[in-house]
Amino acid sequence: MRIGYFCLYTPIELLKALSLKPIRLIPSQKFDLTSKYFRYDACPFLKNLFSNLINKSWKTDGIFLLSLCDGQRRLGEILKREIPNLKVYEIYFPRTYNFSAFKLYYEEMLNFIKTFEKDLNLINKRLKEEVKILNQKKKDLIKVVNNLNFLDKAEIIKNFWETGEIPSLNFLKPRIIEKEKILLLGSYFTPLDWGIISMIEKYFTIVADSFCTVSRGIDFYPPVSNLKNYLFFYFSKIPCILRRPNRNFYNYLKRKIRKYEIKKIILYSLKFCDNFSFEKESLKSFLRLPVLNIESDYSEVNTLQMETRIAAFYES
Amino acid sequence: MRVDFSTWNELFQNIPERIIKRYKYYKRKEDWARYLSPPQTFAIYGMRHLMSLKFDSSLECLRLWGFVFNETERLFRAKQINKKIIAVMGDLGGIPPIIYSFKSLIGFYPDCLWWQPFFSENYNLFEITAKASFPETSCYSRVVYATFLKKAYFPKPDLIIASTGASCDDYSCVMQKINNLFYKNTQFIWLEIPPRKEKREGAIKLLKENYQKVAKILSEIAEEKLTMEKLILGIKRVNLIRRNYQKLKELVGRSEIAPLGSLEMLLLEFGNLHFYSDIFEWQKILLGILNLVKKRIKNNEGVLNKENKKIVWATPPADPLYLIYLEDNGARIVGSEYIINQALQIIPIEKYKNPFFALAESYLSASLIGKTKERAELIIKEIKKYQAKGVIISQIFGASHCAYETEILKEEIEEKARVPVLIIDIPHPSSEIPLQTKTRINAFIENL
Repeated sequence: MRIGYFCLYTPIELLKALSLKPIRLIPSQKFDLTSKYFRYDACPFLKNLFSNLINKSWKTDGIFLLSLCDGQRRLGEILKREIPNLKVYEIYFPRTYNFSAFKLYYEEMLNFIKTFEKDLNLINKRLKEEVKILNQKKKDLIKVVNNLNFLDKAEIIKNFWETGEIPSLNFLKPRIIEKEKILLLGSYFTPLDWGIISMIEKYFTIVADSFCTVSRGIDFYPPVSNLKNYLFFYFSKIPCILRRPNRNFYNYLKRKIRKYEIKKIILYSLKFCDNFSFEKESLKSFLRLPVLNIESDYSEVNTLQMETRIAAFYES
Repeated sequence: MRVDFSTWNELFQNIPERIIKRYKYYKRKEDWARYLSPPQTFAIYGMRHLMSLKFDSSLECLRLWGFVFNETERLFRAKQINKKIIAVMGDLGGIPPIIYSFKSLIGFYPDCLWWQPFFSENYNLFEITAKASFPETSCYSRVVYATFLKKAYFPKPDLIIASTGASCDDYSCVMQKINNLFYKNTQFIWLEIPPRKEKREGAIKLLKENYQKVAKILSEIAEEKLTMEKLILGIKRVNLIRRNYQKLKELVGRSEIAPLGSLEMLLLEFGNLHFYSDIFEWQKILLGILNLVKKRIKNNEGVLNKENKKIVWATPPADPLYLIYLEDNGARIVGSEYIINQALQIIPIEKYKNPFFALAESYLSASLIGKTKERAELIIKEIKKYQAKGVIISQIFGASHCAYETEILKEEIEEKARVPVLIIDIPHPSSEIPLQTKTRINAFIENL
């Protein structure tokens, strides 16, 4: 069974251990068709994800949804109405680090597992193998993408999630750092957002990012351990701005800033994505660096304005 | 009688001094604990929207308004008389029964200050959030952050409790920003709200553990042991309020002529959240209004025309003017789903030995933690119960739940209750309703 997912907290190794084929849903196309259930101020990513699902951009039999943000939590109900033949698995994922909440998440995962496989010993055994394999692949991938320019890195990682392939380093040009170094962060980053990169790279070199579809997706390695420890790793170790409190995410950014000697930050958020757009001032005050906030809804109407703002940020 | 603001002020002059002196908060005898003041006082303090609204002319309702608008003063007084202040955010109803089981604790919802810019017709709080780079396209509840910064609406809390999880994103972000302000010098705890699913045991267990954790912390702050007896007594007190509100709502909704206006009913419904920071006085105010309504029904008296068409309102309108406009133009609100269902349910203490379980089960009835379809069922229940002819859903541009639920609500209601649904956006504070919205409301009422 092919199962689509997009959230970074999706336990991919476990899905593989259950003999499912996880497909990361990173839309490359924008369709005008959307569902009537999305109001105009719904998340542009979720709206476009829906359009891609209905246009069959991926061959998927089901979708694995976690309850991290309100949009994702409510998406399942819309998908069930609009695409009834798509199997929707809605799993609760805690927003806080409350251990009792982890227990509830763990119970839900056990129930999910049991719909595919009753033998937990077998799952534990397969899980260890899958974790080992994916961890090794991610380590290999990091070696390849580490010194590439941001766009190449984003593209290779996207392909990795889609096909599992890692290209040879010989064919890739290393990144040249000749401009001011910045950190880029924001909402779910897809090829539809790649246009912003050339604009930014006219003025800056993106040396680090925290997108879950780019670096954050390969920065963390679950333990080769039993199911509970493995899921606890997902619950407690991977930083995300949506978690409460979100201090772990800021500490993760701090480490990147120190490592790459970053001087400025660009926050690239999707319109109506509260989780990122509320954080501009906190980024400034915690990280003590200038922050430029740019927003997108995948339309190209603001391109010139965006470039002017990036240029002004460069000059400031 | 429904009267305008100036008449309301004139009527106040007829109230004898001895009655004004009779009503005091926190069971105090001192004069400073009075809360019945001329309505003009509230307007002078900045609530200029009152001048556009209409009010029930009874003493009982004047008492209600006086008590509601006195809350800020009351909270500062509470601090002066050595009470501990607990700010509760996000859960909308689950925690206060525990807080009010302690003698020295006062719980309040900063969340309710989202009305402030509308009552004062003032952008000041929005300007503060704009300076903090909050997006314009987010729920009006963002002003709560500004109220923390202003330090004028409530004293510094001794504890802040923030609940997140199966809740809206906007407010979760607001709470995170408040956490950033206070993490160094105020105790701040995050609680997880689980979603409501078919299997409820896990969620009940999680909530029960949450409540036990909160009770332990509150016990330390209050320097008072919370026994099961005390908690049960506290819950019974809350249940009495909820039961009386349920009775009141039924009486108002089922009566032939509306015995009470929708604005007062809105204040009364929200009183179930935290009892406007004084549970004992609130209990009396609610009972007073319940008796008033019974009397009016008996005498066949009402505040609106008999012909006004019955409506259910879903999602609280940030601007109270909409309720008045609706009533002035031939409708009455008989049912409501103001996203606080969890604060309206009786806590089933008889069912459980451990009252924390009872609190948890009651909380699982929350409006926003389940599927939209379930919220639609709550609205449909109100429609059927009160034979409403239509539903108005008010929305806020940028509010996360509105963006995904409104069309589903509409579809479910139209299909299952077979009544029309009007969806309106509530814009920023203003002394007037936009002409286009007025026309849409009028057309909707005409067609019912």
